[in-house]
Amino acid sequence: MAEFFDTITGILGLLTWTQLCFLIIGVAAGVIVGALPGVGPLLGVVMAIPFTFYMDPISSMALLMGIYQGGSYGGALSATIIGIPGTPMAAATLLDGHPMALGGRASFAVTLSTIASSFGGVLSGIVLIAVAPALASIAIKFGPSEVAAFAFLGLTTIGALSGGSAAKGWLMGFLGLLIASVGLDPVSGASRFTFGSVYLGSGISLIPLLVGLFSISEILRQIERPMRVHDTSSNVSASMEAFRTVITRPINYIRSSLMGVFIGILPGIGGVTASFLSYRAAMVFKKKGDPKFGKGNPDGVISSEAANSAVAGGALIPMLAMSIPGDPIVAVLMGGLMIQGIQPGATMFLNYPDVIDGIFAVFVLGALFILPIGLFFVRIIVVLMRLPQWAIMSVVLMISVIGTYTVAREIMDLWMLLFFGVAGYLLRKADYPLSPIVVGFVLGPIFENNFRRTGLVSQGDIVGYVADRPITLAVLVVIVLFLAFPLFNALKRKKTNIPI
Amino acid sequence: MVAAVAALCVQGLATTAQAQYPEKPISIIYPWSPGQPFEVVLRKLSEEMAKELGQPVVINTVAGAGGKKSMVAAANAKPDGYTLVNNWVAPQIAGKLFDPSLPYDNNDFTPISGVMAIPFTMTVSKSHPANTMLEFIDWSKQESRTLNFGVCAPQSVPRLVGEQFMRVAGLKFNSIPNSGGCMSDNMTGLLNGSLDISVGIVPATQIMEGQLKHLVLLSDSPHPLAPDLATTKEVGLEIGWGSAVLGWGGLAAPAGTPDDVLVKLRNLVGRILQDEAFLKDLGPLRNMIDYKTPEDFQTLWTDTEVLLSPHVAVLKKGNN
Amino acid sequence: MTLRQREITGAIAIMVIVSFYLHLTTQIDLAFSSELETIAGPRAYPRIILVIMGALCVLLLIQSWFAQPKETSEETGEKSLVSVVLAILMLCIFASAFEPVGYIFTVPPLVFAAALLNRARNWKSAALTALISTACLLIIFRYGLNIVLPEGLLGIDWIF
Repeated sequence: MAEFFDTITGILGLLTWTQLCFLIIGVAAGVIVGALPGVGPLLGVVMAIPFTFYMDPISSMALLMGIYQGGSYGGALSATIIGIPGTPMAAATLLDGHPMALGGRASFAVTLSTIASSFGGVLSGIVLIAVAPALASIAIKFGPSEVAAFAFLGLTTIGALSGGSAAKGWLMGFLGLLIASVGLDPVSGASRFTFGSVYLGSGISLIPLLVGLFSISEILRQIERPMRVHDTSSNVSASMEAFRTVITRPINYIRSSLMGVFIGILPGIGGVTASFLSYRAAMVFKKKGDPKFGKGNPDGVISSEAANSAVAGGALIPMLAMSIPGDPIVAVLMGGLMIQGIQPGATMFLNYPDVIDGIFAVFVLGALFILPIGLFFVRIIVVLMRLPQWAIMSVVLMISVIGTYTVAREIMDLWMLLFFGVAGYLLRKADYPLSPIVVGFVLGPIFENNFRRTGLVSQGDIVGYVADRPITLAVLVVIVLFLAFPLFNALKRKKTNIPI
Repeated sequence: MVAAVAALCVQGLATTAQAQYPEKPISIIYPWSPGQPFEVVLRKLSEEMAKELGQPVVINTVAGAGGKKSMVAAANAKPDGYTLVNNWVAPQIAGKLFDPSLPYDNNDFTPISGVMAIPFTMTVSKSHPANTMLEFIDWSKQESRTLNFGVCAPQSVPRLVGEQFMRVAGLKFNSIPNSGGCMSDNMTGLLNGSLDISVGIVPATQIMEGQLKHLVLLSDSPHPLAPDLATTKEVGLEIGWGSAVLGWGGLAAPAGTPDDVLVKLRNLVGRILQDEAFLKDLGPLRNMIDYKTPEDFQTLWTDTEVLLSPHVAVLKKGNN
Repeated sequence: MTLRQREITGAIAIMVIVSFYLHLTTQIDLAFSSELETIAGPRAYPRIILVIMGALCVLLLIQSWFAQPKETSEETGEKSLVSVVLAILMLCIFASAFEPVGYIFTVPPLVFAAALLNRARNWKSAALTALISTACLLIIFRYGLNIVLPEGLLGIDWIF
């Protein structure tokens, strides 16, 4: 026991009070944005990014990861109480959580989700701490051809699996690559697509792109078609009954969390699939005497929430160890690190070991903080959740615009924001997914740099060079399989009928 | 309301009369993204300046396009002494040589003082068999193949300096530029074996202690940042610009800044940079400080331009 | 427009952009490019991306041509489309006025207008939201993060 406390104080000792504060603010803000329908953790992280420009790396990650973790959980609140998943990930939680709330057991459902989210987060944090450094120590030996292949693998899976048709996903992924290619050519220094402007010479900035695509376009869409909200108007507080229920179902917790972590590690699949798959698994192991699934079965809530919270830890592993983001939110987190001048990847474990430790500490603590925030502040969050949609959206607009401007105090960034906002709105209307653009944009420079380095390093004999490198060949084979297997398409169409 | 506007007018009139510079905060345009040691140095310097001037001196980061954005911003700023720029060799000299169409040149700026200088090195992975430059040259002769040589950004000073050294040393090389953080990409390349040797800078590599080793300093005289490292002169390979450290950065004002303002700033910055207490406060970063008088600093601009332009020409012709 | 028509319009629009950018690649300067780049030089790399994008557009067009017409998604009312155009216009005005006019005079109207366009309950609550949220953000930036937002007309420069 004493050792356990030593470890805990060891972790706490890594963080300063400021960093801890930002983590708490992040988790609380994340729960709120996750609970607000139409906002969600991705938009929450995007809105917070400009503020991190002035923070130290660990504070910045504390804020952003707090929002990520809190947001993954917050969706469960709106799914349960008002029957709208605040995030697509909470759609599976809704199946049993909302019936519980309708039956007057909202407190029970919310407490169950809270414990499940917190547990899933902590468990995935432990896996993260165990696996990421090991993977990084292998990845440091990867040459440019391996990194390029892995980056392309990330791109293909994300393009293929992000809702709607695969061709659309890929098209948007490649659009992200194209946007990333604006600016200076990394090998010759020539200007590309800059129209002679020095502003474009530094490339498209991440923040106007993200905030425009996700925030401004969402606001425009809601102006066009307002969101309707149906409330169960139940009172919510911590429920002791839920704690008793939890103790009797440890297997479900562990199974769902582990499924979440592993799905998180695979690039591009993400929380939605994870929560539905572990919901399926829970159906297989249904306990006798429980209500039916879809009618308020506690295992349904637990499996969905534990899994979607555990995805976060899994998705961070390839980002930190190989600079390949597992899902769009992690792509934004990666952008947040790059703003700090830190390139994620294997060398980060050598150059910034303190930041890595800080991220680990912040992640586990963030998952723990969900418990008190979810249990004791749930009433405040429920009040905020019922704020009128017009007020929420106009404040989101203000934060987006001002936040984007202050990063570089560059008025051109506001125009880019507007440009990407309108573009994102039009793409949404034509039913094109936006997340692959971000993943393509973030992976673009890594892919291009390493792809073209492969050409240079091999000194003209690229086929002979790659033929000597088994890992590259293996990844290339996996890419071909991914592209060739229409099976994945069929699988995807069943699972993700929820728009992302 | 009327009173307020009147008050503003009076304040404004006082500004034009230049009663006592400075009347309002001064901003220094800084060209790199956060997290570099240069920023720490500049921040300390600006704090010290603010103490003496009685007005805040703020750092205004205008990062992007290899620092060129900052130079454009500075060249277009009002020359009233309230906007200064932390000018670096990369955008001011090298960038301009590569792209003569850039909307600024040396005449758009007036020197205040040279502040920092970072020497370049030749660097290999710790596990490389060679421990000195001469051993490395022997090793490469045995390998008898074209070496993969990691340079920084494609149009950068370290690339020009490094390639010149490789030519002087008679090594066959294939330059591999990168777009990310100059050092981090070179380090990754050295560690995973895709690069044989790379150009490096001393401060960045200190972070990676135990992973890399420097073989030679690309200058004829030793540098306080790496006093024990062999110089090009000691190795017997002279790259042709003596002891000049080409990785310099300093403070400049837009051309046309009033003389009295310049004199005040030059005296102040010169005094701070030579103040032992200030240097002590910087800790190990003090070795990056390389104070140059405005005259010397301006000479350095033209000298650097003269030294680098033939190498830019080689690069351009050699590849067409 | 139905969803299918919008999909097709989208694919055609992206095709147009792709061909324009393909044309732009001919202007990329090759003066400093390395002769070792046999696979993808400065022009070839963006071209590969663009060609793949073009192929995907064609694929999408073929797909939606043969696909079963989906259920007609709800038509956009004319009034709400006008609101969207108004919102974009409002943002344009804001972006051009923000630096010269300053934070205090541009952000409250922006939030107010956004609230109205988002169907605020009434103009009074929209105005209140605008004032409170603008003040909060100003305080956070000014005193929390120590960032000065553009003063515009309140700045001294305006007088001369």
